[in-house]
Order: sequence, then C-alpha cells, then structure tokens
Amino acid sequence: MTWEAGQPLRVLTKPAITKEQLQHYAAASGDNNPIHLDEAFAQEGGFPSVIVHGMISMAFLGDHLQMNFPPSEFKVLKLKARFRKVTFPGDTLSCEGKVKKTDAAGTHFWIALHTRNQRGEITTEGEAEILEL
Amino acid sequence: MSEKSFSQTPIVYRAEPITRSQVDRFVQATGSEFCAGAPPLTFATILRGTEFKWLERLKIDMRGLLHTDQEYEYVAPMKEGDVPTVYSSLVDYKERRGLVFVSLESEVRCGEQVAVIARSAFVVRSAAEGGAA
Repeated sequence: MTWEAGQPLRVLTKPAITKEQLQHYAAASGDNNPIHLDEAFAQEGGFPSVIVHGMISMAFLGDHLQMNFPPSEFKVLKLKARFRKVTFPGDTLSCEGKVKKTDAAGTHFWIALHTRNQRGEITTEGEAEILEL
Repeated sequence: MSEKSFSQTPIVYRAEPITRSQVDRFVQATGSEFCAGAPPLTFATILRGTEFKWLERLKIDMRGLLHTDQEYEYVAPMKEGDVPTVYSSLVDYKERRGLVFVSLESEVRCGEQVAVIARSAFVVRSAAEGGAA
C-alpha cells in the first residue's frame, strides 16, 4: 500500500475500558498510582471516580499505528502523546489519524494520531515518525 | 531550571531480564493486537519505576499528579532476555501559579546499546481540583 500526505488511517475502536483492565494494566506496567485503582483516593484528588492510565490510551495509539503500519514492513522511530482529557472506566476510545507528510522518496512518514471518546471528544493527541523497511 | 534544591543525580535502575510472560501480560492488559509478538510500542513504560522515584524525591503529592505528555524514541528493539538498565534524569522543574511542572528523561540501555529514550511530562495541581488529563 502506498501512503500519501493527507491520507487517513484506518480507524481502530477498542472495547470499553473496565476497572478490571486498570488493575491488569497496573500489574503489567507497575503503575500502581492509586488514582487509577482506589475510588476514595481518586475522589480526594477531585475526580468522580478512578481515572484511566493515560498510558493505556497511548498503548491504543501504538496499536493503531501498527495496525496501519505493520512491524514487518515499517519501523517506528518516535511515538508521542499528549493527554488532553481524562478517560474514565466505561469510556470507549477510537483511534484515528492521518499521514501529515512524507519524504520525497515516500519511505519516511510523519503521522498525526488521536483518540476520541464515545462523546466525540479528543482525549489524547499523538504524533509518530516511521520508516518503511 | 530548578527553583528548589534537589539532587540532580540521575536515578539508575537495573531491571530483571525481560520475559515472555511480562510481554504477554502487557499485551493482554493493553489489548494490543498488532505488535506481532514483539513488545508493544509503549512496553518501556514497565521501566518507569525510576520516574516514580523521581516524583518521590521531588515530594510530589500523587493525588494531584497528571501525566500530560509522553514520548518514546526507538533506537534499537527491546526483546525477551534483554536486561535493561534505566538512567533517569530531571530535565525541568518549575512552579507557576500553584502548579508544578516536571519533565523527566529516561534512557533505557540493553547492554551498551541504547534501546529507547523516554520523555515524560507531568503537571501537579493541588488535590481536590479535578480537571485536565
């Protein structure tokens, strides 16, 4: 497949995030910040409930990138994320993006990515730089 | 850079060898489908223990901690059996209008080879304000 500037990526919609997923993620990643796990702690922090690890959203963006640019054909050089809005358990995130630009040879790509929740709000914005192998 | 006096000494952590089960747990917890068996793009987050040590050193109240930005620069692939060592440094610390801004950079080396450079930014606001990411 040939990628060109402006071309949208295929959308990836993930299943709704559950509190169990936050526990699994905490165990797998070592990020046991109680703001993701302990309701009372999160409420003391001013949130209505525990909040989703921003890094889960970033993991979704990474997966979205590799769905569109398989690791057998592309090498990811950089992945960046800015966490714009809090995600709560029960939220569903869709990953969207487009090719921002390519080099003259059409083998080096700069990608804009974001996650959007079920209310249409952009929650995480990302950028990636990739190279065709 | 720093408005308070903190030790600038990098925090170093030598991790256990990366195992298949660590990768699998991370894949499951993030619902990653397209990494083709390799560690997902955000896998280096399992090595964030040095960042939490930095936040502890800076006496950050975790209830007010918001992870605002994350970046990974991929230099060489990490794989099962690699023994990562993380060198984590404070890049910036600012206090502005009741908010604290912290930037950290962590270099993950496997042997002599740099594998990943991770850059993280946090904002710390007073607990019970709720709000952004």
